[in-house]
Amino acid sequence: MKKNEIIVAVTIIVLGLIAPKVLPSVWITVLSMAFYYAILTIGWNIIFGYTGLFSYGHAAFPAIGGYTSALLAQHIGLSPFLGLLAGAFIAGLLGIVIGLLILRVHGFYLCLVTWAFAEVVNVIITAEHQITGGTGGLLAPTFFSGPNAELFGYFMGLGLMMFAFLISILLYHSRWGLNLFAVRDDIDAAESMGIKTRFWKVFGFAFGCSLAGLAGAYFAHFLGLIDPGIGGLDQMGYVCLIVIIGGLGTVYGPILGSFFVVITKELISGYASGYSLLIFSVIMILAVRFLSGGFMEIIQVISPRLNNRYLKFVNK
Amino acid sequence: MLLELIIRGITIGLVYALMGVGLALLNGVMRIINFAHGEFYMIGGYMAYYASTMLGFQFYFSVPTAMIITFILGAVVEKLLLSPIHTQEMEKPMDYALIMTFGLLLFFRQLAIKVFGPFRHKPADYITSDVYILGVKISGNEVLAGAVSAILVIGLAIFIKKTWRGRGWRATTQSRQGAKINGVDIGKESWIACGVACALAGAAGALVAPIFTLSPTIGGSPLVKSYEVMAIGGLGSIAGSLVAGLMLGITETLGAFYISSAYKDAIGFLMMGFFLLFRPQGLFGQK
Amino acid sequence: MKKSVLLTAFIFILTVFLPPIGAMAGDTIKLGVVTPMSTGDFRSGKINVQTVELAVEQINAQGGVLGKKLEVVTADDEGKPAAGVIALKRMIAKEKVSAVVGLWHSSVAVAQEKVATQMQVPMMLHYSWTDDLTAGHSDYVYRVGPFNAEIAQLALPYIDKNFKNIAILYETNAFGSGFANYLEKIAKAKGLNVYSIGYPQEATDLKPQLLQLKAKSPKPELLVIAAVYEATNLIPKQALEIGLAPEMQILCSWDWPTYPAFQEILGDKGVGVTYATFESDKLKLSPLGEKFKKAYKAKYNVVPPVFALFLYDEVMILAETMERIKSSDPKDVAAGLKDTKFEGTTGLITFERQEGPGPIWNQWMGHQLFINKLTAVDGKGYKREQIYP
Repeated sequence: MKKNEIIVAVTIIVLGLIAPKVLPSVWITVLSMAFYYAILTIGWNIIFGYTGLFSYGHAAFPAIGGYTSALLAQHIGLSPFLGLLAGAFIAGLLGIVIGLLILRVHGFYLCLVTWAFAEVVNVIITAEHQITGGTGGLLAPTFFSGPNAELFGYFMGLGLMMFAFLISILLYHSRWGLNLFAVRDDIDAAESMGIKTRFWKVFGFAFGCSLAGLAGAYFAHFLGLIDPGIGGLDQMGYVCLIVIIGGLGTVYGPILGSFFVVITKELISGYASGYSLLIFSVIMILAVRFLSGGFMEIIQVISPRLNNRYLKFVNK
Repeated sequence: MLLELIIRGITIGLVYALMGVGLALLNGVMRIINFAHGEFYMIGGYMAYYASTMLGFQFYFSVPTAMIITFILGAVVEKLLLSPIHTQEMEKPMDYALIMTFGLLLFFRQLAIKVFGPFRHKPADYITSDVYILGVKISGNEVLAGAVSAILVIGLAIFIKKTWRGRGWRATTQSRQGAKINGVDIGKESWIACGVACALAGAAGALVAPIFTLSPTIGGSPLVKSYEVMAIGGLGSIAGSLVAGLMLGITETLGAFYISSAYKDAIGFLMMGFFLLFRPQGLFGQK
Repeated sequence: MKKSVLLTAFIFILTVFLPPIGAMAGDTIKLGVVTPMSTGDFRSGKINVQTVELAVEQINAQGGVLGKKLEVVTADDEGKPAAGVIALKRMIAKEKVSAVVGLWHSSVAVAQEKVATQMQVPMMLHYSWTDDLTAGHSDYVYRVGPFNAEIAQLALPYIDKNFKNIAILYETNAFGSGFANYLEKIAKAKGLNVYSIGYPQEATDLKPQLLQLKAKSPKPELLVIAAVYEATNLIPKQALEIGLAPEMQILCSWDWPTYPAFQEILGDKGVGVTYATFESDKLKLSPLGEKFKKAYKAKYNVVPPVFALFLYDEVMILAETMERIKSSDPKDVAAGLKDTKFEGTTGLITFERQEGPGPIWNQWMGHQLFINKLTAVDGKGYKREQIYP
C-alpha cells in the first residue's frame, strides 16, 4: 500500500464521519446509497477493470446476496451482520459456477451470456413470489433499531466500503493482482509465462461477485427491504456509467464515480422532479460523447495543472 | 390445443424474427451492443398511431411512415452519437456504445412519457375481422403482422445477397479491415445500416401496435427478444434470425403452457445462454 | 471548440444545482404527494397529483390553513418499493412535510409505512388495498380507501350467486396476491371451484396464462382480474382474441374500465365487461362531492375517478384537523386525525380501531361496493348499468 492511498483512505473516513454532523439528514440515505454503489462497482472494477471480463450480469449478484440474507433472516432468524457474510458467500459461490461456464466465451458473447444469467435470476425472483414476495419485494430486518438506526446503518456502510476499498488496493499491488492484469492484457503471454489463466479468470470473476453479494446484503438490511428492481438492466447501466466516469481499472474510480453519480442524481431530483431522469440522461449522453476520458477530462479542461497533479498523485 | 399453440407460436415468432433481424444487421456492421434498439420499436409504434389517428392513414401508409421516420432518426443518432466508434481510434468502443445507448434508452423513454403522455394508446385495428387458420381463431392484426414481418425479413435477405451494398455489409461483418481495403466506406455504410436496422425495429413496433398496444415503456421486452433471436440465429445471419425467431416463438408458447407460464421469459434466456456457450456461431454458422 | 462545449455543459450542470432563491422560508404548510410519476401506474399517479393540487388550490382560495398557505410537494416513487422508500425519506427530511398523501402501489406503500411510522409523519392511503398496511396498527397510517378483505367480502355474494367456476388472474405483488389469496379462500369456503394464476406485474403478453385457463375443465365462467400495472387493459383484450371471452364473463377488480385508455384499446369489444367499483349512479355524493366533481371536470375536462374523491377527502380532512388542533406539526396531526368526524364527498368519515390482530385500524369502513357492466358504446365512453346490488 502506498502513502497516497493511505492519505485518501483516511480522508474518506474523516469526511464520512463528519458528514452526518454537517449535512441535512436526507444525505444519510443518499450517501448510504453511494456506499452501496461503491462496493458494487469496486466488485465490477475487479471483474472488468482488473481481469478484463466484460460481465453484463453484475446486477444479479447484489440481488442474490440481498435475497439470500433477507431469506435467511426471515426463516432461521440469522442476524443481518452474519447475513452480510452469507450473502457474499453465496454470491461468490455462484460467481465460481458462472465463472467456470464463461471460460468458453469472449468479448461480445461473454457480455450476452452474463446478461442472460442476470435475467434468468430476475425471472426466478419474480416467479417464485410465494418465497421472495415477487415484485413487491421482501422485508428484511435492519441492522439496528431505534431512532438512530439509520445513522448507524450509514456508518456500517462507510465501514464496508472502506473494507472493499482496502481489499481492492491490496489486490492491485499484490502478486495476485499482477496475475489478473496479465490475463487482461495478453492472455497468451500470461499462459506462456506459466500463469494459470483459467484459474485467475474464475478467481477475478468470483471475487468481484462476492463483493457485489456483500453490497446487496447491505442494501437489503439498510433499507429494510429488497425488491427485484435491484437486479434490473438499468442498475447494470449505472454500474457501467459509474466505473467509466470514475476511471476504469483504477483503484479510486468506483468510489469517485459512485459519489459523483449518486450525488448528481440527488441534486437533480430535488429541483426538477419528473424531469430528473430526462436531464440525467442528457448529461450522460453529452458526457459520454464529449468527455471520453471520464471525470478526469472535466478537470483537465478546467485546470490542466490540477489534473497533472492528480495524475502524479495517483501514479506515485 | 397443441395445434393452436404452434400456430400462435409461429405468428409471434415471425415478429420476433423481424425485431432480431435488424439487430443482427446492426451488430454485424457496427459490432456494438445497442440498448436503444427497443426504443425505436416504441417510436415506430407511436408514429403509426399518430399517422392513423391524426392523418387518417390506413396501415399500408402508416407502417411505411413509421419506417421512414425511424430510419431518419436512426441515421441521425448514428451520425451524431455513434460515429466516433469508427472515426476516432477508440480504445474500448463497446463500453462507449453501451453507455451511450443506455443513455439513449433513458432519454427516449423519458421523452416519450413527456411527449406521448403516460396513457396507453392503440391505433385502430389494421384488419378488423378474425381469421381462422385450421380452425384456430387468430385476429387479423396478428396475421398481418406475421405476414409483413416475413416479407420484410426475406426482402432484407435478398437485398443483402444481391446488391453491392448488401455485399459490403456482409464483408464488414466478416472483417472491418478487409472491407475498408476493398473500398467500403465504413462511415457511410454504418449510418445506412443503422437507419435500416432502426426502420425494421420501427416496422415491428408499428405492426404489433394494435396487438400489444403502446406505452412509453414497451421497448424493454422487444430489446430482450431481439438479442435472443440474434444469439440463437448467429451474429449477422439473416436466415438464422428468421428460423431463430420462429423457434423462439414456438418454444416459448409451448413452454409457457406445458411447463410454467411464470418462467416464460426464462426460456428465451436459457436458449440464448445455451447457444452462446455451446454453439456461438448460431444455428447455421460454421465454425 | 471542444473546450467551449465542455464549459457550456459544466455551466449547465451548475445552474441545475444552484438552489432556488426564497425556497427556504417557512411561511407555508407543506403537504407531500409521493406517487408513481414515471413508471408503474403513473396514469393514476397523474390523477393523484391533479386532485391534490385542485384541493389545495381551493383551500388556499379560502384563506389557507392556520393563516398560512398550503404548498404541494411532489415526489416520484417509480412504482418500486426501494425507490419509494428513498423518495419518502427524502421528502420528510428535506421538505419537512406535515403529512403525506397520494401513496399508490400497495407493495410500495408497505415499505413506506415503516418509514412514516419511524419518522413520525402521518400518511394517508386513498386507494392502496393491502390489509398489511393497517394491520401493523401504526398510529401514523390512516386509510380512507377500502382494503382487500373488505372488497373480497363485499364482492363474494355477487360471485356466489351467479357463478360456479371462477378464475383469478393476479399480479404477484402485495395488492394482487393479497386480494387473490383472500378471495380464493372465502370462495372455496363457499364451495366454488377456483383456478388462480399469478403473473409478474410488468408482463404485457398474458396469452400463455389465458390459454391455460382455456384448457381447463370445467370451464371458468368468470375471470376476476386483480391488476394495476401494465396488463390491466390487455387481459380483457387478449381474452377476447383467443376466444375465451365473451363466453366467460370478465370482472375487473376496480374501475379502470372508466379510464379513456380502456375504450381506445377495446373499442366496442369492451361491451359486456363488468367491473367492481365504489362509484355508481346510485351513490349519492354530498354537496362537497358534487362541488369537487364539477371543479375537477372544469379544470381537467374529465370526470374524476372514484379514488380522486377519497384523496380529495383526505386533503380536506388534513386541513380540517390542522385547524381543529391549531398545529401543523406532523406528530400532532397524526394524533389529531384519530378524532376525525368529517362530512366527506361520499359520507361521514370516521376512523375505526378494532383491538386484536386485523386490518381495521385507523380505517374508514363506510364503503359501498357496486358491480357495473358496460352495456353499449356511447361516444367517448360507455353506457354502464349497475348489476349489483
